[in-house]
Amino acid sequence: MFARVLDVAYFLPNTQDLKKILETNHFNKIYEKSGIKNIAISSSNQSALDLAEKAAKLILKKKHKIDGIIYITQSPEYYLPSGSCILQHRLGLSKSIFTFDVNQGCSGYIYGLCLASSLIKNIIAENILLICSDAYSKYISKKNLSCLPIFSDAASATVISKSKTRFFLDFKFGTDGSGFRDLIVENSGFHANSLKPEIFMDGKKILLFTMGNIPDLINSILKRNKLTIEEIDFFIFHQASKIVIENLIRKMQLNKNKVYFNLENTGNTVSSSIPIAIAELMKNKLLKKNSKILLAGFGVGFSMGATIINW
Amino acid sequence: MNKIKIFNLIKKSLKTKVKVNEKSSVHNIDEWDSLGSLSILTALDKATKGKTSKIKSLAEANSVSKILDILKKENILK
Repeated sequence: MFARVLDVAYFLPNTQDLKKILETNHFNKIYEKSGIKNIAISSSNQSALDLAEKAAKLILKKKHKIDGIIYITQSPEYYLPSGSCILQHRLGLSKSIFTFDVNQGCSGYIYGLCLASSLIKNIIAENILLICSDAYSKYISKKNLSCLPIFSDAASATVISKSKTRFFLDFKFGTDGSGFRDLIVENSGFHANSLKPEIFMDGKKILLFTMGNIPDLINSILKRNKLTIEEIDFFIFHQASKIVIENLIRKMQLNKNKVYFNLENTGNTVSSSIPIAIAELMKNKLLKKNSKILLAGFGVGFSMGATIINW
Repeated sequence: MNKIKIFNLIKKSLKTKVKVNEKSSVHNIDEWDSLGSLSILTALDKATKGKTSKIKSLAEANSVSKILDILKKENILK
């Protein structure tokens, strides 16, 4: 038994023009590196779980019969219970399904795909709803100019279903926890104090992590599957920022026409960035049958994951 | 890779008209902010064919002298 991506939907809350938020010279400097013009910000009474519910309801219009929910988030509704339990209730899904949360960010979608495909291969489920959602804006103050122009709130929902043919060729992951402080919500969890939780990001360390590790990850998964870069029809990287993607293209000597790039109007949507890309490519019928797609998610943790899909 | 090449690389990355030398740092070049640092890291990676992206300490280097020290220790600077 194999598993495949059957359907993808996403939801972005209200988008805001960064030119109206930032001073012009500052916007121009940031845009040159980030490639981001608009970011999506949830309203003050809208949580990541609310966004997740909206994305899930879009996909459930097609009446998929769901056997389980995997919810990828780093913006929890509560310390407990898990957001996936609440989603089961809000979506009116069967009480026989399994539900669990996964605390991952930019690599989260790859982890979710791997978990879903493993459960389907082991005949635990036939259709799994993989939901990614984050609202980092709740942890970014207006003074936080290193994070404010980068991150967008967003949610995505993917249905992964059983398949007779092999869709996911392989998965590969990596972790370097020594970088945990380089993208972190300070004053949170066990370390909560009187100060408001706030994201701290060291862009230089993240860039070095990406440049130093992602090409090796990609080369390693390609080698294991006896594939070359030229045989990959499409690369979908986590849409971190323009400078990250441009450096990956340069270091790996990729044909940039094969690399998905669409940050300008969505910003960095964390674990939803790859499913949003897939949804857009599906909508525009750009994913051809039997084409080889390489997905790679990387960032907070530091965590990374890649998969090769035979579409 | 020698010192003059590093000075020129940093000057070009920062798109600054200021002369770059061993005394240059974030404190005396306006263009050398966090975004400028990203340009420097990119340029170093390109010039060293990927060697510098494995050197974590470069993320904290906020002066030419620190960059030179790190590159010397890593046997990248002649």
